[in-house]
Amino acid sequence: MGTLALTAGARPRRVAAAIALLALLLLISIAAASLFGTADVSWRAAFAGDRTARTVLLDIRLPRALLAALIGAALAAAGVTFQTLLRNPLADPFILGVSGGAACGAAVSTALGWARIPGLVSLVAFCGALAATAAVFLLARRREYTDPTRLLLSGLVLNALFSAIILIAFALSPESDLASAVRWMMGTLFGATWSDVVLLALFVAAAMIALSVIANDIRMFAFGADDAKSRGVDVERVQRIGFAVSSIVTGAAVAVSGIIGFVGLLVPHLIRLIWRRDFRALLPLCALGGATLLVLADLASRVALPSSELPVGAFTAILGVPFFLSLLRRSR
Amino acid sequence: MNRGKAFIVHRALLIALVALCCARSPVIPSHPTRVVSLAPNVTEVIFADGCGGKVVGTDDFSDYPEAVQHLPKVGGVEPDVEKIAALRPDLVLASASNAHPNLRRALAAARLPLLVVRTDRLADVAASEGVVGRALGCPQTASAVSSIRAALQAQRRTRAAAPRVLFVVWTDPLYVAGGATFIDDLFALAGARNAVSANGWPQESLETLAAHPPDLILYPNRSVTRAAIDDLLGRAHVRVESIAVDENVFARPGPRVALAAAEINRILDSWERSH
Repeated sequence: MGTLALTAGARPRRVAAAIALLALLLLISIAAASLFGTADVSWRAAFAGDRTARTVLLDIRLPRALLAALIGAALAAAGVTFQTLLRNPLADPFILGVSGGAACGAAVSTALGWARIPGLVSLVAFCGALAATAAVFLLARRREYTDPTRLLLSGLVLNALFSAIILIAFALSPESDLASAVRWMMGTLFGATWSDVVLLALFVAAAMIALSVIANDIRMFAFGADDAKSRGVDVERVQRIGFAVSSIVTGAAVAVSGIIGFVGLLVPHLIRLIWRRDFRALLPLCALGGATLLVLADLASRVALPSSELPVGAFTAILGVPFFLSLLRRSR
Repeated sequence: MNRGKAFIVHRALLIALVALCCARSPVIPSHPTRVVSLAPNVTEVIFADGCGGKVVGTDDFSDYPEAVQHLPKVGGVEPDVEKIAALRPDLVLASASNAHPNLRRALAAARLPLLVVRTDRLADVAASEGVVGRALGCPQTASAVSSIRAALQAQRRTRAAAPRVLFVVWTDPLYVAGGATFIDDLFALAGARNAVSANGWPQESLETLAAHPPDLILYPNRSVTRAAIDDLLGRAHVRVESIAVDENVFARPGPRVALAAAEINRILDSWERSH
């Protein structure tokens, strides 16, 4: 059965059609995201030289939509990699302590009063994410071998420890600075700039290339690490690269936007339900699907109320929770 | 369920109901002599009423007038009830906007009466001086109430072209003072228009700031920095004159709101002269 399922993935024309379809959906959502917002501006006015319309469309809406796409792609690609390598349907991009580490860095630097220096909290959050991932790897290391179960447990336990530190940091933070710490916990794409887009695009592109190179090996994990090893995969090396690349790209995304939940968990499951389970096809499909979902969720968070923006994480969760529950019922 | 069980449940519910009715909150004494304040603006109200001598402890944030800086501190959002009890107050005062939801229960357990004062809007400030002054039996209550009313009235302006002013609470994401807040009331008093139409303390979008930049931005000088404002305006690609204001005066709906109103008028007057 294993060989059957693995070879059934090799239908390049259907995969190409699915990729083209999702890419089209992504383009349509980015176009929609650039059309709607609180300011009443149009592309026609922007082309006619209206400065306000240009600023709103080209410097505010478009970078924000592209940043949403990049973050969605990063989270979904990391999610599908973790789910495949750990063979755990509940794994998400934050499973190895990335979210806890980032939020912990943000909360502690807020408690120290650094929130008033623009950009500094982002940098500390990114370092926190990487430090957390490194710590989880060291904890899960067992002689020359990384045990996926130990990896998962270390991630969970470290996330719990980080939550404790975050609670204490919140209690000690100046009350007026709490908005900055809460920003990390809720996630927002507010204030996206072109430099954010370019920086994150480099991270996402590098991660996608790295994951594509080892995609065929990651695919072999569908039936367990032992099965993959018997097929001649250097299990240890593939795991290490896969986890590290996914964690770094998640950390970069979190440093820009804060923690946006459910994209990395939801999208891989959706794609698997609709299309197929071959990792080589799943990777680009999940990246495109995650990008589309987050662009639409961010659009909804901006226009749901006429006078105020809502947290984007709430909209991915509103989509994610019912799906997650039905998944739990199904897996029983 | 058999009848015996039903009887027991029925009795238990009845006893619980009677117990609930009997367990009332501690009664506020007619003339308290030792009080603890749990909000900086309430502390300022007590002192304005001339009852500062009765304050035996405050929250961590109360720092005005200077006399309170040496008083025992009992904590912040979640105050330390043991510390409060140890100060043996006969009344604890808190502000409705930041009182912990369990505060009344926690204090009742220590048999400490609580008075919650509402200070959300500008008109609440004079009213709160009346409420607090009567509860504490302060001699200067009537004069304090009339003087804050007169001081605010003296700041009332009508301006030929009411400037649109934005009060920024936080820059990333952008949180602002909306309608139905005491900041909005202060703007109306000084003859300015609030640039925000939504009520409360909403999150404002960057593109609204870019498409409809206000005439002036005010920001609290402790939680928001000049660099954060410049970063925000850079992201919105707009230039707006931005002025820092004393956070402790502008974030506290207390007796010093008249100072806040005077400060806004001074800023608006100089803005009008330069435009």
